[in-house]
Amino acid sequence: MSTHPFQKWVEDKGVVDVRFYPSNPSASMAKDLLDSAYEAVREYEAGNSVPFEDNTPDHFIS
Amino acid sequence: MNYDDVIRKARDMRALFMQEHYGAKIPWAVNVQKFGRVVSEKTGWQVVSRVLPIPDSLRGALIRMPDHQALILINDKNNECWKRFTFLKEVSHLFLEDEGQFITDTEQLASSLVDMEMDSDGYSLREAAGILAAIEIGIPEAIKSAIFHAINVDGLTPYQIAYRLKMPQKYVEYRLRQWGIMPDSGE
Repeated sequence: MSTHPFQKWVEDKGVVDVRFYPSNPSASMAKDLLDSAYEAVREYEAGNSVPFEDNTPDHFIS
Repeated sequence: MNYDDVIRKARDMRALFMQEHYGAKIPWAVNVQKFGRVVSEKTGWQVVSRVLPIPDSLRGALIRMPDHQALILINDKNNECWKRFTFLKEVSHLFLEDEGQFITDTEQLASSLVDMEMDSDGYSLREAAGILAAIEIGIPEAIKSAIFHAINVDGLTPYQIAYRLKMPQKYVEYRLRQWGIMPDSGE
């Protein structure tokens, strides 16, 4: 079986750890997750991303 | 690592964060981005979090680079609550697991997550640890009595609690069931 392009990307970049958060594992195949991850890093490297910002206002209980 | 360790580590990190950012005040919704900065300081991982188009099968991912950069990628189709939760789940891996528990075989990881029979290395349990920690930080035991009051005295619904916490309703309801305070109307 050939290596998935995402696994090759991980090896080429010297990545030391990877974690996935599947939306619905029972409805996905392993290849779906790998394809999605590869798409994500390609988008990131192409500059098609924005910083995550949490603008939650402070609303205190006490 | 067992789940008691996960909860202890999540509570310890949350306590550090609360002390540094909120003092004696207790917020309904913690600012997860500021929480991420504390995790970064304590672990040495430089957190870079980005929102971007990702196919639907992934809410997000964490990629640790060799230069100690921790890249958190978040699916732009998540709503704000899910974006915040996904960030918390991924950033929690930074303080939950060290080098001995790193994963680089992504094909095995993906297979493990979709088919428990393929999960010989317990990868799905490690992902679950991240979710458990995110729940402990975003829907903490420390505000259980305030939530109890909001439901039983103020009459708030699980949806309204989720809105206050800015956390996914799915995990708010999980927590309410765990605490035995899920209102009948929400069952």
